[in-house]
Amino acid sequence: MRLPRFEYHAPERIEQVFDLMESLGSAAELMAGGTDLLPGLKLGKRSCDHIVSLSRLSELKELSFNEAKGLRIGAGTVLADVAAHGPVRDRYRMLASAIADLATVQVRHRATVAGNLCNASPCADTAPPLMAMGAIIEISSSGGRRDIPLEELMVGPGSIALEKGEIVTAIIVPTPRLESRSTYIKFSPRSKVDIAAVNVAVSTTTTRGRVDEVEIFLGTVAPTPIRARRAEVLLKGSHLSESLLASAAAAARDECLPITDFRATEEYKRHLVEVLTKRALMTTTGIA
Amino acid sequence: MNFDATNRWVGCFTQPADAKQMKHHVIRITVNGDRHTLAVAPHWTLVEVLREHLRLTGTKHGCGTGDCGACTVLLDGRSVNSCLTLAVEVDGREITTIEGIASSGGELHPVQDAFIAHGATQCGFCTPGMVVSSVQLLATNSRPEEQEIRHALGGNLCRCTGYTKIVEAIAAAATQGEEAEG
Ligand SMILES: Cc1cc2nc3c(=O)[nH]c(=O)nc-3n(C[C@H](O)[C@H](O)[C@H](O)COP(=O)(O)OP(=O)(O)OC[C@H]3O[C@@H](n4cnc5c(N)ncnc54)[C@H](O)[C@@H]3O)c2cc1C
Repeated sequence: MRLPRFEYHAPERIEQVFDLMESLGSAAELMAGGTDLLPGLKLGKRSCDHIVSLSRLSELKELSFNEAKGLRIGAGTVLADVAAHGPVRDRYRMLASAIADLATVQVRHRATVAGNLCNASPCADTAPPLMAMGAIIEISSSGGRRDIPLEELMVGPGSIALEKGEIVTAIIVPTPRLESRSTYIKFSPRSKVDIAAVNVAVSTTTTRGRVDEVEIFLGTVAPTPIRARRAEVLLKGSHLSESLLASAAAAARDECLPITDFRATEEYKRHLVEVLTKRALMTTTGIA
Repeated sequence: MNFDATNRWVGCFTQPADAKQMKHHVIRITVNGDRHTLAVAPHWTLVEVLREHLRLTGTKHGCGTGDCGACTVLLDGRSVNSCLTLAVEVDGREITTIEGIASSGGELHPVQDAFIAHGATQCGFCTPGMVVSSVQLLATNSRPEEQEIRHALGGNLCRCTGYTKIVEAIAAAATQGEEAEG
């Protein structure tokens, strides 16, 4: 399978990226690792006359952690490096484990977190964990910088809230509360190297059997990953019990909006949401 | 016809019209220790340049979308799908293909020996990619568990062997490496 033709640009300064994206408009696609973009072009699902590559921008390769500011993942950092980063393995384990089961070794050597999020697939593996950890997206353009919560980045399948000439430059993830417990569960029929049929990220903080904080994000069951708000409301401030977790899981099942596709039917996905949400909550709260 | 920047003929697989219309980019790459300067069109992938221009046909072009891993090569020591890597993007970088896995004296890599000893190949189409991914795995984890082998090889599909012998070969190569170390 061959690629259609396009012009290629690989600026060394970020201002040149902004200029190119502004002047080329919809004729251009940004490329990070290309692991979504290039198959899309080959399969005719996408088209573009120009590719603007981020590969030569060394400033986007930053990957750093500090207690006060949290984790900063430059848009050019590849998944393999993020998952191998000491602080990510120690403090952001949910992200490391999501990356470990994302695609293949070869893809993880090229693909980026920013590309995973900007591709805006409802099943993007890094999205639910990063949302549950309160990630912020740093967006830059010739006009300056702005930050938005990751939850506001994706607006629908393949569609993100960026204006012309804007690019994502970094993902910032706040330092997790020491007492919080998180887990990410991806369910796919093939189990390896497959995108999710349903994916769930849960983070909880409890004291003396009461839920202080809870974040539940569901992937693949709506046009974008979604927050299970009703389930969270049921849990927050309540005393832990198995029946509480079961009703929260049932609420998550009722508030998601899955569609039938070749991986699973709508009904089965709802069932999976209930089972996986409960399982994740049992893991993070230690209630069996 | 295509000529590289030093006017060396590098192949005729792409139509002449292609060469004329597209702006070509000059790249300098090291493949299995040999340096090459090539003029490439933006939409050429690394696997196309390796096979069609450098005539290194050991690397196979399978699915073209990153699923099968037949095109796996090492880019600066890390395994990548050469079908999802633009040739222009690898300017200045070092590539190792299956042809560069054995020593320059022709001595096979322990992984290659183990694949032969265990009968881990059948039709052979996936083998170059399998070997490159296995070499990559052992470089990062010298004594992988079976599950780790299966996980690391998830990006390489084989339709003949059922994987059992491949997994056994890699485990044996790992044990051998350990014995050699002493
Ligand atoms: C074999 C295979 C298996 C896969 N398995 C999985 C899987 O299990 N789970 C999963 O979630 N994904 C999977 N993917 C999809 C893909 O690998 C990931 O989504 C990856 O993280 C994309 O990153 P990239 O850097 O390659 O993105 P690219 O392809 O470079 O870009 C993707 C999109 O994001 C845009 N973009 C990239 N960077 C920026 C930026 N900084 N600012 C604005 N827009 C930007 C691009 O314009 C493009 O539209 C798989 C892909 C393959 C080929």
